[in-house]
Amino acid sequence: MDGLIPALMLLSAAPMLVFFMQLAANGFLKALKIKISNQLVVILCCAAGHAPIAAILWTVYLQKIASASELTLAALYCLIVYNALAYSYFHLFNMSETARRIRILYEIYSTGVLSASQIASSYNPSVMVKNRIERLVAMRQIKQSGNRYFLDQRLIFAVSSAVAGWGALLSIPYPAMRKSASNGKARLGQSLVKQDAKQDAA
Amino acid sequence: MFLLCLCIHVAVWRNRYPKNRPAALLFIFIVLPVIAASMLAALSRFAVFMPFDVGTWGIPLIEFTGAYLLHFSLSAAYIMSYPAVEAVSPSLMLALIIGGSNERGVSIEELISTFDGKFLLEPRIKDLKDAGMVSESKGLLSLTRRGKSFVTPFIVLRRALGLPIGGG
Repeated sequence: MDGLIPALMLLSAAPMLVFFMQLAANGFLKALKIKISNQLVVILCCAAGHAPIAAILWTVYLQKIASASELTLAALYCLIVYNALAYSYFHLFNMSETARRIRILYEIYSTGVLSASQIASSYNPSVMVKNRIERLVAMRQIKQSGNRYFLDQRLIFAVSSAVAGWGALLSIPYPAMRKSASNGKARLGQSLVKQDAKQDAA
Repeated sequence: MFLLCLCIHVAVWRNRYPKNRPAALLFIFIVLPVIAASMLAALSRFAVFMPFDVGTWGIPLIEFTGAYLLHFSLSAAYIMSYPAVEAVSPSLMLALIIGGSNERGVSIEELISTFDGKFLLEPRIKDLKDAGMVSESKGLLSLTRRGKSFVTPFIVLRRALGLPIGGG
């Protein structure tokens, strides 16, 4: 078990490593005036963090393991823990970037008291959709062609489908929002069918 | 350990949807395993006094720490992802709608018409009230101590990174 304690402490500090890499990357990108989505920067930092953490873990712990099977298991353990903690940091940052609850809390925090209608007035759905569309385009999950949007890479679409399935398994009583969105999807489907009918008629 | 907690979480959610979900998740995934491990360790320590064989359930502290770190990292990843399941993340909903449109694509106007400001905010304000982070008096919302301590780390994180507060 030689070196296990420092290795565990190092793995626990994985989110701090990603934070400092993001801090350095932000400074570097600002200096070079390069604009990249903040979320993409964190994802790249999480990916780049594998190299330094693997090197340090090898030095303090992994190289001291004699058996090949134990080494494989230990390396797999380190890989899972690092990625799970880096993913948690990504979500923490993502909440600060996009979460409505954090935004509402911040609005109230900065003014002291607010009514629901005052919050709504500072939260424009059209701006919200445009912000998210920009982020999804920057992350290459969707692409624009003419005035319409299409799927580009399918990662977020696959995640969305999995999330919707998991929500159904948990029997989450979704609020009106989901109903509204699914009605919107149905309305969208109907309007697309009407467009097709118009095109056929033309 | 993580899979067991996940099963407990599914069973609890399906039977009685908790009012304070963040606290319930923290209890199931973070606190419950520590209580269970402490009970097993205590049981193992006092095994000699038991009228039946309890086996060797107690594990060395360093091994337990390693196992708990693995469980904690997986649990943290799950807990951080959970809001996207519950709050119907607009980004994920947009991806679903655009993905569902196949080759026709979707215009920005069609996407905006899908999202109603009332439905975007009201459920989130209710969640914050349920979690005891926001209190309402005479139609005005204010932060509770819990709400303040919850939002402060996010503000500190953004400031430390030199970024403005997120657009929501």
